[in-house]
Amino acid sequence: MSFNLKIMTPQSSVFEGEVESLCTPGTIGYFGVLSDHAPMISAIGTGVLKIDMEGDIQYYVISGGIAEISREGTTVLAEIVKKVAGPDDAEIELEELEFPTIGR
Amino acid sequence: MLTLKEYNVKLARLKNTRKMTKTMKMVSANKLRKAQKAQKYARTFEEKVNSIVNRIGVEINPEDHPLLNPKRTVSKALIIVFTSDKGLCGGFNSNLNRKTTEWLSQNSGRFTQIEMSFSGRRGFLFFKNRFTVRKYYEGIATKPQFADAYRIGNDLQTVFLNGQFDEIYVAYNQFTGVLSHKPVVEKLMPAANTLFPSSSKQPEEGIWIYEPARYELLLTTIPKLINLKIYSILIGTSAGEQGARMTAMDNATKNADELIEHFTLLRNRARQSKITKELTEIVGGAEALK
Repeated sequence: MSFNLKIMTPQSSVFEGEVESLCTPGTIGYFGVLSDHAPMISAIGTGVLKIDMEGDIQYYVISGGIAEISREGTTVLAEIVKKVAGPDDAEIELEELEFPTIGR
Repeated sequence: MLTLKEYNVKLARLKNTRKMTKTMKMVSANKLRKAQKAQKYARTFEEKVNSIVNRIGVEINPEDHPLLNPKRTVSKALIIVFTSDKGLCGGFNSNLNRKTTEWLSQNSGRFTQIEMSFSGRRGFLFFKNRFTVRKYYEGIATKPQFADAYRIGNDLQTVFLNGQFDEIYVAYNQFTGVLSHKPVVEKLMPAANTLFPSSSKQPEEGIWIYEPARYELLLTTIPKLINLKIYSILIGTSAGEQGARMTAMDNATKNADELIEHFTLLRNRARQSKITKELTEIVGGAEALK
């Protein structure tokens, strides 16, 4: 069973497609979403978002946003979303988020 | 009256100018297209956020969030002016600078101290010697990234929350269409209820889970809505700048065309009179030899 997932930032659409499961940080802890999840609106905290597409697992570092889970599909709206290779890279990116070196 | 040679030099110069303005117009058209694409993304995002916030359907009291809470005594204000980095775009920047100056002179009585921040070189150069500059966010205006808006937003929220400033205003060109924009000065913080979409405040029918509870959920979105607002101002400015430059350069090209036509006529006239003069001289010389 899969469901439609959209991950968006104000600048671009980061991900759009069918996924098996989604695991994302809320403001009060991580939560998982499988297909046929009850309708829910949740705030998104800072952490690592994980999506599973039939064994193909993708990791994103995410911060600050809101997610809507409804029958039509799941939408994650966040201020910062960055794709990372794996959980280890995600840790490094997270540190970068906490102590930003923004400024080009 | 100029000589034939002088006319030719002048015409060559005009044609050069025309070539340049035409190129600038085409470059701007291209950049405008890119900026509009960014705007489209931002707008879909904004609509989505608004529809979710709408669905939460709770009224917010200004007392409940420090970013909404008006200060009792207002003495220090900060105004951020969003202009473009480059000129040559008609009245785009000067209109905004004029509007801001007007606002400053009208409101200076209300505050004991006004400081200014800038994004975009045009506004910075215009005001830097007349008012206290708090910060100049450099190199953002031409190609704004969301990370920039995020940085500005966090910076502003910090100074507002720790009481450095009591009110924060933004001055920018409101994007009302591709080729039209109007300069406005708005209060950003304390945020007004207008930050939230004003349509029906009815919670969605059916069973929805809210995580955290609805009210806190709405409060967590406030800082994000402010960042989003700043981002939409930034990309509106960059799109507006290109739009304004396109019109300005189109006008310049038209003016150059007119001048070229005018001077071509004068040059031809000069050439003709020169030929006539030479002919009469030859004829006169031949007559004298008879």
